[in-house]
Amino acid sequence: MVFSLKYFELWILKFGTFLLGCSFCFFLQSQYQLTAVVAAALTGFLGSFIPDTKRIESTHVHATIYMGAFVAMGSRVVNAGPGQILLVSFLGSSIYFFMSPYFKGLGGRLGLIAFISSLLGVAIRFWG
Amino acid sequence: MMLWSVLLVAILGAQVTYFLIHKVHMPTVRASSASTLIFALIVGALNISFVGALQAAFFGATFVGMTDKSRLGWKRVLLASLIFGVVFVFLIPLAQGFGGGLGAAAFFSSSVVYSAGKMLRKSNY
Repeated sequence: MVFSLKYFELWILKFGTFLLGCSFCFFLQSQYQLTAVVAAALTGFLGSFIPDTKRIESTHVHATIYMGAFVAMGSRVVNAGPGQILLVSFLGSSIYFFMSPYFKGLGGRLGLIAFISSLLGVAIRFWG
Repeated sequence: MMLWSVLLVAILGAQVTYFLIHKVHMPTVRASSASTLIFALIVGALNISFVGALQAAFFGATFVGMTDKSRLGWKRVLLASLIFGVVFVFLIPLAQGFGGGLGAAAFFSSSVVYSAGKMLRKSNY
């Protein structure tokens, strides 16, 4: 993959939406005392109403928002503070950016990426 | 009791999501999240001690149901959701505190069924 401005822009969009999903899910849990499952489902549900333009479809905005919400279901990430959320969002959007074509069509791939990035985020913080 | 409830809920979650995606043509994320929200509301109104576990099991099973038609048909999705139910009961507690554990279990279940199907097809040739 040749590095170009187009790819960087695409990654920035993925990172931004991942962070948005993660923050919103965390906000729902802390502000309204919703359970992790309901907060994540509500985040994904609201995110799925973002208009499906060509650009949004190519960025997989709905999927990255949902993935961010999965990360926010983990107490070890959100309790560690904004720095950890940023790190995990960076890791998650990067993994999704590069690995997505290999997992295409299999259920749970979004959750798997969220799980891997959560684990990596905690490991980096622990040993970094 | 809990294992059977989880298995039942897992089958329901996966099948409802699969139906909404492939028959009603709902976007995948919306099918998964909307069905989870409705299920959470219904179960929340019941007086069951393990409501949280049932909601999580349904939510995880909807990820299995998000599998594309080209990868798994509805019967294989049913099998994958059963595997997910077992994994959920025995392994998910180990992943407490990490987001995405449900999805990882769902991915594992769908992958196992998909790979097994592929191997069986190969051995028939």
